[in-house]
Amino acid sequence: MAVKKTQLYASLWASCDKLRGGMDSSEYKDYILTLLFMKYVTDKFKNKGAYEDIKVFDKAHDKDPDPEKRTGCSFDDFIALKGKKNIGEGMDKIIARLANENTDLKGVIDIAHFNDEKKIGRGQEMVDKLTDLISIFQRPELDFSRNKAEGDDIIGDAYEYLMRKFATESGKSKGQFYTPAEVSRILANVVGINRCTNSSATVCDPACGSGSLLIRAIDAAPFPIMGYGQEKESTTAGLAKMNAVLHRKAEITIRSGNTFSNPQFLTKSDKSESITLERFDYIVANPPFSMKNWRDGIVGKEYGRFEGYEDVPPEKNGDYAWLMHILKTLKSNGKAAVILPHGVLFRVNAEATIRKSIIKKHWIKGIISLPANLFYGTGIAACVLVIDKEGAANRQGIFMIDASRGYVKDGNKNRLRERDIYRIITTFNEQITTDSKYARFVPNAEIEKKNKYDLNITRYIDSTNPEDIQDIYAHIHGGIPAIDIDGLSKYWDVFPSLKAELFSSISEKYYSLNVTHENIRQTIYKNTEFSEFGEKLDEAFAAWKAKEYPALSSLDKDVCAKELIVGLAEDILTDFEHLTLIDKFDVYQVLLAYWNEVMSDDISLIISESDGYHNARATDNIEEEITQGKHKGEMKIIGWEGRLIPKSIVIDAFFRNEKNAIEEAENVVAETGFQLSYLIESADEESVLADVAENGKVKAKDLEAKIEELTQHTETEETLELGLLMNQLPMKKKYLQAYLVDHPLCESALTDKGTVTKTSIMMRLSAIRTVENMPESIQDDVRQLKTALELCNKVSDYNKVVKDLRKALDKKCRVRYESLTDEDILELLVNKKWFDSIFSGIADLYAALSHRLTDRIVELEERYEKTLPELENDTTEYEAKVKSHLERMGFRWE
Amino acid sequence: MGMKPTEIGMIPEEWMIQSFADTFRILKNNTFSRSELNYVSGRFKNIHYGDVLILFSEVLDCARDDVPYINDIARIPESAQVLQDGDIVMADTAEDETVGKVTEVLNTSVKPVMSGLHTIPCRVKAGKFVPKWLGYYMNSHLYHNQLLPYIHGTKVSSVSKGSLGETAIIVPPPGEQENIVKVLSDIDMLIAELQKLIRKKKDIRQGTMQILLTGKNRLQGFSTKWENTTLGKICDIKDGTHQTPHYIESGIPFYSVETITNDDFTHVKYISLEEHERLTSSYKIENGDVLMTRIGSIGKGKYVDWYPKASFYVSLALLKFRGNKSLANFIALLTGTEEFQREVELHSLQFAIPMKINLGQISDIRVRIPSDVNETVAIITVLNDMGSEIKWLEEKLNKYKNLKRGMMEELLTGRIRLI
Repeated sequence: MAVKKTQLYASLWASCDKLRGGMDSSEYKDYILTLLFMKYVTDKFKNKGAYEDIKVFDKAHDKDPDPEKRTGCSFDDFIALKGKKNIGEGMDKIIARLANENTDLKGVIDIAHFNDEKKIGRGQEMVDKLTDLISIFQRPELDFSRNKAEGDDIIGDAYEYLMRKFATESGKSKGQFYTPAEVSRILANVVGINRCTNSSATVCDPACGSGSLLIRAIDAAPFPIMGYGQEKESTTAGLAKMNAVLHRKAEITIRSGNTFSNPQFLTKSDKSESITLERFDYIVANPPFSMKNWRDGIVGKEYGRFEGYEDVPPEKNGDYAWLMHILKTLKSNGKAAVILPHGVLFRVNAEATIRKSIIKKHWIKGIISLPANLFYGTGIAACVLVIDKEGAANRQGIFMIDASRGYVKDGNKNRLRERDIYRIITTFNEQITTDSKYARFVPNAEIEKKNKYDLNITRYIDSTNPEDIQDIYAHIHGGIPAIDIDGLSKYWDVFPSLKAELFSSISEKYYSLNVTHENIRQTIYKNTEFSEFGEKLDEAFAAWKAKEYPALSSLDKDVCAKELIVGLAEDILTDFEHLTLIDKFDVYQVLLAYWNEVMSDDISLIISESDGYHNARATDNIEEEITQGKHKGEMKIIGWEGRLIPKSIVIDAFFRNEKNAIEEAENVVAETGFQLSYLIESADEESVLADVAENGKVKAKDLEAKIEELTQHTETEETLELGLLMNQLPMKKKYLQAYLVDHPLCESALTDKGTVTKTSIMMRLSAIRTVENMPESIQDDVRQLKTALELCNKVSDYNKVVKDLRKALDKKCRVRYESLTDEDILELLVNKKWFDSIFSGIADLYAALSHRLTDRIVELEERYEKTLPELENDTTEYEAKVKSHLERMGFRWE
Repeated sequence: MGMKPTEIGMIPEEWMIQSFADTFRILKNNTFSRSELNYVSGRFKNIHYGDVLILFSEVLDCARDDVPYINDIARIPESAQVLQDGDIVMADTAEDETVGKVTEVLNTSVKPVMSGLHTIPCRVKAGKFVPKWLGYYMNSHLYHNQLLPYIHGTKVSSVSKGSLGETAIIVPPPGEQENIVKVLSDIDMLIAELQKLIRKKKDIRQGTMQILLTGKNRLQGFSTKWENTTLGKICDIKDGTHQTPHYIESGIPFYSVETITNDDFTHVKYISLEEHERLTSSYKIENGDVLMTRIGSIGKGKYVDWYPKASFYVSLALLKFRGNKSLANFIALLTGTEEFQREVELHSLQFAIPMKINLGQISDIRVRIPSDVNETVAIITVLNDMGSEIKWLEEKLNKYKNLKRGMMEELLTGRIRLI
């Protein structure tokens, strides 16, 4: 069964989290990530010999002569330990064996100890927990042995997903090891590594944490280049090494040690024999913010890093120390992108001196101010400093971006959206300055003379909105200020006639509103130019759709999903560029959000599985864990869904009639239900129906019982005769015949066999009593009850009809998938699913546009609707009324 | 006219009493939370209990803009019912004893409206009621007191449908109901108009600040050029105590950032006289100073026009204008302008959490002030007078609100009759 990547990660996380117990996420991650790593290398390299990257074998293939050591070193050997008492010890041995066979993995995978009673638990608790954990990674969807398409980085992405989750869950300041993927992408794309032409170039992250940022930077290079990472915490360095292996980045070197007191990448300089720091072509870094005691142990290990800036960074804040280290280890034409707290831009004293001397070297190419609260473990706002030593001599200024307002809230953190990332990267790389509230190229003089080397972004980019002016004249004399209406000019440029429909000019400076408050929205919707704009939107979408359809309808294994979405996105931006009222970045976000949520999974399925589009003919059961009862923990099937095409689309396409029939039956249920509640509601307070009803509802069985109760008292000649006969039963057949001759009315109770029984009399009695001849006094009540009963039964009959029809349709629909033609698949998947979903997101933008316009007009209308004199008159009038009321109540005053 | 004793006290002889159970049928409500509602569009409007408790008065015009819409009509339960004019919606949950607040819905024909989360929608099944009577009556003490014994819950208070049944609904003759409703509606209208008037006066004062404090418009008779300076040049800037003091039940007021943001100098924390004296050994808040927020909220000012004996926290800055009271008053007013706020933001640690501005940065804030002290006095007089008028109107509004409560008590119990 195909599993969507996002679902796979989420369920993996959920299962692991359930077994976490009291352990802190930051510790627990070492266990989970180690298991994931073991599983991956086992699937990938087991028993394949030494020519593969990593040597992995199971116990049967273990050639160690010592039976004590012959444990195997694969995940399969873990599985063999499940449920055994010595499982913890056994796992540690297996891991040790793997580390022995692959010295590169020493100090990487053997960090987490599974035989740790404090963390995992004692005795049976440990056995159960480890057994359950191993089972999680045994799931078929976590089988990495099959070859996946290139660029489909399931394992790397899973690792990344888990790390992000662990970072989110980790206690304060313990999530530091992880740089959010969105920020890593920005750094990798603004540092300029994608334009690298030197195949022997190098990239370094001197504070690499779990390595994600470094891996992304290498990914951005046009060809594989060598990467170097240093990390202080040895466990975190281990994570980084695993991360590198899982991302198949053999060219990465990770070392652990303190970057200040123990820099790991050293070289002997050519002339002298002295040892100096290795220098790199590119550096990316997200160092710990405002680190204290960075000077500890650096004596003799300065390597000249902290000289030449006229001052040294303060002992209790290492932000500039990091920057100095980076500048020192950058080649003379090197480029770097560093995340630092905002304070580096404006802090005073020593840091101001250092800042000034760095600015004077003109190494800073750009500054990007990011939203607050993006990082794990700190809420502090940060910025990206982009350094480029090349071309410093001719640099005329610094390119600044204020991206601090573009984000979405995600739990207790902020997160950059696709549109925010895209806008930052394109604005920076193309130096776009069309929106001066977002980005500016700030000339050197402005920084040095006017602002005295203070780089605080707010000094250069004013991203505040214009002030909302209260117009006193309008408050007193009425009218809406022209300045406010003109402030909406971007709308009037596109809808000039709408302005005329909504407003009339009453003088040069004031307008009046032509429509009433309630009709503002309607007027906007009905305006021709407004609806024409909607059509233009449709056209732009149709143009994009026509452009992309060929590619999306001919996907195969040669397609790279990552390149495909880049193309789709670039085209949609071009096609919507001319529609100025709709922010093209919003359109971009609609596409990318849908891509991340749905489309990329669909497409990777099509290009990676041999069946390609034919997967659309498959359907999958949906299972759910049983949460209670004796089958607790087992899975049960709760429904099904098409693998690529949702059920609802197939129904709309092929089963319109069936769907309509269901809707009709549902309407009957609703309509009948309405009649019933109306009947109950309008029933007289004294009526029996009102008595039976409870909270405006009745039950069929209550109605039946009541009818029965009312009618059983009905007596006719026949009921009396039958009653008499009943008392004489049982009666011999010949007496009965004689009796019947004397009492012909009783013949009505005769059975097919020519006998009379108690049952047959009862049946006859109830037949008489439900049908007729009840006393005048209760006839109305019974009739009303019967009507209610009929309606009640109709509701339940039709409910059953609906249920049956649904079931039948569900069955037919599932069968129908199998016979979808190739044309059907393309129509339903590409047009109905993908394009229609994206379009509905864009249509929402159009609706939001009118809401914004309406809201502002309503605000202005309410503000100036009544003038001060009018309000004063109204108040006086009501004050007088209230006064007279009070007088009538007996309270007088002068 | 005769009165008769009933279970809820004396009421006029010709007034009837019937139980809640005999009066109402309880309808079905839905349970949409705030996040499932919007103020833009939809097919159904929805009455949320929070709005019943805080926003809506005794009678609700359902066409109002602040009655939200339901986002997803597919999620409306089948049993949910649409409200009709005259239905009563009761909030069955609240954080305090306001639980049981009701609103009578009117004008339901414009858009269908439903009763939402934590509400009990009731429809009259028997009894003659003129519109709005029940809305007023069921919000009176006479009715609400009957609910008190049934309120349960510790964190939040609730009443259950079942417990309402025995509560008593008063039914005066229709003509009398009509007279009472008319009087109460009129005072409601007055209150609404007064609120609009206050809003208008505030807007006008804001507009006046926008032009007078910036020097865009000058008051007649003044033409000397204004002076560019910084706060550091015209006042001494201090901050409050850095240590959280020991609070006590009552004693010397202790101001913090909330004191200024809420503009409430009566409901404050207290410290002992000893601690106050220790904290104010070098400087203290005096008449003619300005208090300004600097942590959490930044740059909101308050002119100290009274004679305080109080200490203050590090989150406030104290600006001392060396006896120049009119300038102090001017600067305090200036903090309400957007230009000043922009300056504050420019000098703040803009992304610190919480927001913060350092003392040194406060002194760098640039301001433009009149160079003629008479102009300063003239400007603050205009704005202070406008402020006083608004305050006076707000007091008047409160007076009418209290008067209305009084009128409800008298009229709805029949102690005063309108026949």
